[in-house]
Amino acid sequence: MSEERDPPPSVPSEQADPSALLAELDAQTAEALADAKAAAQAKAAIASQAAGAAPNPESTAPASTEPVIEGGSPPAELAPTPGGSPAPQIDPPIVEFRQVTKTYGDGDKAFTAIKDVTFTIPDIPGKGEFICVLGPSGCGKSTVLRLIAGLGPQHPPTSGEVLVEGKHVTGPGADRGMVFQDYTSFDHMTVEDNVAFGLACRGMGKRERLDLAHHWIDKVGLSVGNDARKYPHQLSGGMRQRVAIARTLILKPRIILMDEPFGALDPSTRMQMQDNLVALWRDLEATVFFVTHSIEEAVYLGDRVHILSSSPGTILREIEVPPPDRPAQAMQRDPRFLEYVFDIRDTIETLEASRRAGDD
Amino acid sequence: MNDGAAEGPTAPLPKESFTKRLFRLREEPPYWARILLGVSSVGLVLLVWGVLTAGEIPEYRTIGPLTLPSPGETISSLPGLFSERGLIASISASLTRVFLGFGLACLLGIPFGMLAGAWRPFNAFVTPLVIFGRNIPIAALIPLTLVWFGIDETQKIMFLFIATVPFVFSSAASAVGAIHQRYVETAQTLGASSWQIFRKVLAPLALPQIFTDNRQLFGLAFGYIMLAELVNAKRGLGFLIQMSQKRSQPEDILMILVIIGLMAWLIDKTLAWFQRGLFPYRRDL
Repeated sequence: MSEERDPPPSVPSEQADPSALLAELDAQTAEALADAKAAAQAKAAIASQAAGAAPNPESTAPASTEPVIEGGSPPAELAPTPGGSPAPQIDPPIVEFRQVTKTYGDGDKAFTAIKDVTFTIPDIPGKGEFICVLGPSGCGKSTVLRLIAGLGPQHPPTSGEVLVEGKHVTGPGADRGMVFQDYTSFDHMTVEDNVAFGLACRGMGKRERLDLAHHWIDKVGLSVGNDARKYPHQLSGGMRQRVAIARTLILKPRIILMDEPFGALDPSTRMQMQDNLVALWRDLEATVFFVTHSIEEAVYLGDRVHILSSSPGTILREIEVPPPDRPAQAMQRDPRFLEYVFDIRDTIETLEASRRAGDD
Repeated sequence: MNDGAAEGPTAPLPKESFTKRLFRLREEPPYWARILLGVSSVGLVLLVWGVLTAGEIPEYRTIGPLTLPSPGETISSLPGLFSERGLIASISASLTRVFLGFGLACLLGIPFGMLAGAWRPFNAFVTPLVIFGRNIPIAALIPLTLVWFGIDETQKIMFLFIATVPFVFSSAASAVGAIHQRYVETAQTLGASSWQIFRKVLAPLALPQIFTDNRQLFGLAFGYIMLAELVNAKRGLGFLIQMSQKRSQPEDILMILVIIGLMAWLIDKTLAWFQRGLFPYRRDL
């Protein structure tokens, strides 16, 4: 698994040794690597903006063929190399942010929600990545998500580019499903009609879409017999969230955006939902962006954790974490798991402190 | 919880007094208490009315029978209203006008209002007209509609239509506008087109509120029709009231007002019953 996500995000760097990623996931290594990535991203972003061309071959990571393509492909799209490299044939990254900044208003009242956010999520065939976005309240986590979804007023960005599968995001679409924290169900529709909503919009026949909806109602742990004909107000918060997840997943989106979906749930319901989500995601081959402010949740669910700083939001660090291999209840008690949690907590505090010091 | 306390040394919690419970903030009183309170308010009015108009000899009454007839005199005017004055025909004439005029206002106002709520440029375009329409002095509309539509039924229906359509329109527009944006965003990320979102999400979510608003606007229309019937009507409750005034039969006027009140109440209850059946997803209705 780690081999597949081997190439560093935006542009390979000389410091990053890919073999480190193959090794047992160690917090220190991951952090050091993330440091390197961040530095490389910043450099590469400036370089690619200045030159608008492919990075020089020296910056290619050693002992790997993939990074050459990885490094070559995104800039090649902007300005094809005269040599005619095979780069354009390679799948573009599933999501790419290039120096994305979002500012509201202007003059004195201007507020920058996110600043120079740059990252790349490679397209891993047959399997997506589970990316958790962590950060303090109001740091622009949702902004990142809504930019991918193409939802206003965050979309379009003030500057920079948001690319999904190599194409600019122009607006919302069913290929990028989204699950919100609140107002999640259409109150005037029964559970089955809620789940089948997207299919109905595609023009699928009633019988067919209800059969599929029942399949998914079952998959998210609701009872077809008891719950399918109920209205949302007859369900608990956790059950409504299951309906929302089923309604999104039934459309098999390539990208699933989740904006603190479990934020309003009690801890035990939350863990059940986490387990259910992990199980569903394994079958889906989708890339998930999961915004949360719970470090435990991020470490448990994620393959990678992106840490955002607060206003203006910018990605401070990317950390790889072990995938969930046990139920949430068991895994989140493991000392090694807690090690990750504490480590990330310290990292956030240190980063925030140094940022504040730097700003002054 | 009080049961547990009985075993231990602690004294059971003192029971909250009934009046204290009854007047808890925003607490709905029990059903029987609500009925009792409603009946007693009507009873109080009747009592004051009865006391003020008590006495066989008109000169001894606090308020004379020409100003305010007694409750008994009012009730006794009922048979005459039915037999000689054609009460039923007037009621049906008034109701027909309200249903036609207000019905037309709903037929046009609700769909256009909902479209304006969903597509705001349209709303910006219509808003000045709506503000103007809502603030037209209703009395001025009567001569104007007389000029435009003549003196027959058309005038009365059009008067009601013009008087109510701006309210119907803005109620529909604001009901759609008040639907949380999250629903729209959810539908968008599920691949719905703007028209699909309007049809499948915004309109059905806004309809319960629109229905509630129009239940109230119906009362307004029912009041307005009396005004229109003051001019050249051969039937109708407004006409009946005016004739009673000319014949100086205030007990008839009072009786008609009571009938109007009862009818309005009945119609509102019927509409509320429909509403609960139409919108099973709104448990608060």
